[in-house]
Amino acid sequence: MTPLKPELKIREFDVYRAFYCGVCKSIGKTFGQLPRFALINETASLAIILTACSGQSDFLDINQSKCIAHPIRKRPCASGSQAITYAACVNVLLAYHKLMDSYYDNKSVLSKSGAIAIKRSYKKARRFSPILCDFIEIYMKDQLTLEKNKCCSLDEACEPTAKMLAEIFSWKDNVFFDGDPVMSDNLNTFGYNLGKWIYIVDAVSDVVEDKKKKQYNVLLECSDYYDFTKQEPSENIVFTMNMCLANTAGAWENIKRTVKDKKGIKTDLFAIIDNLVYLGMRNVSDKIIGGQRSERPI
Amino acid sequence: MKDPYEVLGVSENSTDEEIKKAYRELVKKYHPDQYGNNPLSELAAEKLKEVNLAYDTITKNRASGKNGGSDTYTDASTQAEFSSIVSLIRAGRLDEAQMALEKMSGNKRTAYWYYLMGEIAKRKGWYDQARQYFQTAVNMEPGNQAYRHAFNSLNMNARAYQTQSDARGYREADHACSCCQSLLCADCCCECMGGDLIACC
Repeated sequence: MTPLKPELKIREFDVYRAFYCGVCKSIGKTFGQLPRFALINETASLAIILTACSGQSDFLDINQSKCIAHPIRKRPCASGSQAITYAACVNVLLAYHKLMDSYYDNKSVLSKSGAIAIKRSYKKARRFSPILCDFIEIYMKDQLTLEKNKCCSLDEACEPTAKMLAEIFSWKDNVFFDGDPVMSDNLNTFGYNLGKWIYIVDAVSDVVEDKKKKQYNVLLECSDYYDFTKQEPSENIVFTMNMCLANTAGAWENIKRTVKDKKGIKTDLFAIIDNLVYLGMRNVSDKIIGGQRSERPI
Repeated sequence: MKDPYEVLGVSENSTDEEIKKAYRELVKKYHPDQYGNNPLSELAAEKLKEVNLAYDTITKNRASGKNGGSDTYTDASTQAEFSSIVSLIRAGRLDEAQMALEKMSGNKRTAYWYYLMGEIAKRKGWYDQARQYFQTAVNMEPGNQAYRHAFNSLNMNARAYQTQSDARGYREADHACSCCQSLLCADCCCECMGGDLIACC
């Protein structure tokens, strides 16, 4: 989930990058330097969306600062929103699981050593949000079990990932929206559909490779999910992807309606999320459906 | 009217074969030849009529996929089961509703059953399954407008996103892309002919 850059205003792009840097910096500050190398695009978006939904955008501070990745020129870097620290925590948790996953899948030594390297940060993140950490572990385990049992239903295979993102987006211990149940519901729907879409995008972009390596991929379990002669996903897959996109967008529209105060920085945040939801995701979807490999989903 | 299954003395879950057998036995039992001039013959004739009617209704309903739950002789328990499930769905208790539906035996799985399963799947976000359920409901009862509407609106829903995205200027990005593609194409053509349009690739 990345914005479609050509359609962003330069000002908006700066804000987006500031969040990206902000999450990265926050990881370094709170959880240790090593997981900064495992930065996930989506967590910047998570920080932006949660900041836009909360009343915390007033405290948002965008400074010019240097960092390891950009040692010479200063870059805008966001801080001051709890959503950024939360996104950093989510990033560490997901990065660790991703590495462990690829270790289980390919027995890759590199992934294992990466996982060991960030194990300490993972423990810190667990202390930061123990229940969320447990939740993520459970969903990851569910996903693994499904894949071991060669689950052949598209909806079932997506479920753990989708539910995990729903949980991450609407995490109940977050104080950002004062426990507003409507907001929480909308964020839950947003996360669920986003997670499902990401899982399918991933599955479609890996399907050829998985077939070669004889690895599990839900699209390989049922003959009418992917057309190998045309190199494109079947109509059911496209339909489900579109449903996910439509419902993500629907949830976002509902959120926009409930967040009233839309001044200052919020207009930029809203414009960025509009771009993410309507243009960025569409762009990835279209590429995938056209049979090209996407750049880098989760 | 009496419940046709009760008249034949069979359960709703019994197979067509069992029903036929029960029907034959009852016909034998009540056949007028058995009674001659016996005063019971009139009663038997009436019974026989009832049995014939019950058998007709069951076979007719099974053929049209309704399995005995039609409005004329509403199977009250099934109807109540369905309406309690509908209220579960309305209350958002989808897992309970789904479990209740899955417990229902094969011959209660009417078009309406598939429609409700589709509704649950849709609300859960299981879009692929939702569409399959709605499709089955439509196939079982092609004349039912509600099922058809559910199926069509799901498909419309999926298309709505693209319209919204187009409205936000996605098309331009698309054009830019096809522009790049045609440049690349032109470059390839030039290279084939020994020239080069874009030096770096």
